[in-house]
Amino acid sequence: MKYLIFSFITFIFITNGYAVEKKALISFMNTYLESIHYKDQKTLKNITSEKFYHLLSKHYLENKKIKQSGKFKRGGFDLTFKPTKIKGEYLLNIKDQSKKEYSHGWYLIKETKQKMIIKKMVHIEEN
Amino acid sequence: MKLGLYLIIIILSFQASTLSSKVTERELEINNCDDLVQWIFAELTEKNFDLLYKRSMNKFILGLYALEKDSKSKWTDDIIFRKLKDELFLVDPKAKEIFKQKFWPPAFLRDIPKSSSTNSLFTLWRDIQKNHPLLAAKIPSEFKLDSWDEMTLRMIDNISTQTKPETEFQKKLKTFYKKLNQQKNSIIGNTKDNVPINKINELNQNFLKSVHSLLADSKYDFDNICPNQELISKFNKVACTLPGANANSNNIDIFLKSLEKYIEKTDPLVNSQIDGVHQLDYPTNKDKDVTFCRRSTENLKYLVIHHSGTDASTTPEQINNYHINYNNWYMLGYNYLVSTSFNGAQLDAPQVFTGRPPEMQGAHTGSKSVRLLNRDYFDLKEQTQFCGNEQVGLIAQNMYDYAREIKENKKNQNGVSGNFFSLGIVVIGNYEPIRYKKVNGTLVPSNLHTEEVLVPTKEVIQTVGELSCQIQKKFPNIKTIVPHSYFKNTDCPGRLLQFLKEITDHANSLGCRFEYMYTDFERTN
Repeated sequence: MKYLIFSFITFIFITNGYAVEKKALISFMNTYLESIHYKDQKTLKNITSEKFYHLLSKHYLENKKIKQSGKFKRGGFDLTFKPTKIKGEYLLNIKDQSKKEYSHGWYLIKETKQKMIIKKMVHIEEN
Repeated sequence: MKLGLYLIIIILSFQASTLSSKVTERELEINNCDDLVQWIFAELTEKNFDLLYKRSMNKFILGLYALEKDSKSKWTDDIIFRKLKDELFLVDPKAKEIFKQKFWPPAFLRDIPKSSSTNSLFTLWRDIQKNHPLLAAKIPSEFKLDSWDEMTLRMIDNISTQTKPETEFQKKLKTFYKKLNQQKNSIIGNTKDNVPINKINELNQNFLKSVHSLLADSKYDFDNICPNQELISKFNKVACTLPGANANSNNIDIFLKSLEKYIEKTDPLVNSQIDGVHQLDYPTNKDKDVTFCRRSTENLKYLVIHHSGTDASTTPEQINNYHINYNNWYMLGYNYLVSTSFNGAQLDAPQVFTGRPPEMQGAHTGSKSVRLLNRDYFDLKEQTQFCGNEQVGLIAQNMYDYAREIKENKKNQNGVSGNFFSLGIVVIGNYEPIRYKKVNGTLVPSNLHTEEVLVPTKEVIQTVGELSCQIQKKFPNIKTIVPHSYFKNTDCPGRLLQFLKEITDHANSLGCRFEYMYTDFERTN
């Protein structure tokens, strides 16, 4: 019986930890998408690495053809992520809920004690 | 006198049975494939070789003696029999003690061979068994040459009779042992620099033959000396994890037959080395709980073109590090890498590097491959893959059963992957134009990998075409060049997709025969 209780407690801890982690990542991606939507350079600079911000700036922020319309709504996307071997780093992919496939590029997210940042985007293959 | 001879026979028989029981004891320790390989190496030591040699010699002497004592036939007058006896006494003078020397014709009346060796003695013994059925029928079965003796004979082949046999034995054994060690390394995909890559397949073949021979011998021992059902099932379990075995076979005979077929089918002289390709030795995840799959190169049908989606200055080693650390794979997933850069400088002529060995299943197409299941389903019946690692050994899996199971369960992942049938060529660099995708109503850059997006140069196209042609020459079943998007809904290989015709044309202009399959390249996204 005590083993059962112990397993249950462990399960609760694990699932709880996972939920918090995913919740934090969803919140972070919401912030990212919102700042992308409004081309909020200040926030983007704060949540991305120097290199990634440079790429964003060149290919997105300075691209006058890209104009977002309407108000940004939080949520509405699916997210998948997997931890890498380096502690505090995640590979993350998002997709629109109406789409079947995830995006080809994956975000490499680095989590420090204070905040999360998008280090870069990477091209990975499934096995 | 007769009593003395019986005593000698009993002593010699005892020696022979001691050897056999030693072999059997070793088998008791086998628990997994790795143990089996270790056991094979341990068996091929000098000490055991000496024992084998003595065993063979004893059998030979006892066989001759049995023939001579056969009262119904006069073998003593037979030329072959006399020749055998002369050979025997030259090699082992002590053997005279067993025979009645006083009745033996004097030397000047006989045609004594000028030179003699253990090798020629055994060859004669074998020839008699094969070519003289009347004589062979008279040899008691327990004294006939078996596969242990055949192995002994193989090992002493080519030994010079002019030098001391012991020294030559040692040399021969050391070489053999070294080759087998290299063999083991090549099987697990960890070839060392000093192993010529073009010999690996040949060594693989020799290794399989040795394994087959040893297993066949073990079967003999089990059947005749230690008929313990529990041990046989244990042994079968181990044996069936070896290449060529059918996973479902629970009988050693079936296993041996399948291994024989595998040896016959595999071309021993396939040379996987390609001219101008730089060999690289990559660190792997072999110490960790990471598995890989091994397959026959006969199954290869497709060449899959990728781009790395990284900066062109990325090195093969960096891709390997990425795959072992981030993707947690055994080693990098591609089989060949084409690089246009070296130490950050642009190269005029692209360089080609090796990745995963061709006999090790790659990791590049993605595990979803519905198209492949429809197209190649019937080819899977005779196919087997072997998955595992150094810790657990390689477990055989029949591909047809595997595919059927997936189809029945309607699983779309971890199924029969395009990796099983293909080799992956990656062109290092980002060839994919920047794309934007809508997520929750917001347009987001979806592939912001590098600052520069490349267009394939003429040199890159030619290098990939040339490489493809060389690969086809090594693996003739490969007849189609396909983009990564053939197997998976992906943007890979970017702009290289538009140049597949040029790549195929260039390969065909070099004398190769690749099929054109452009209608299949329609992008679904």
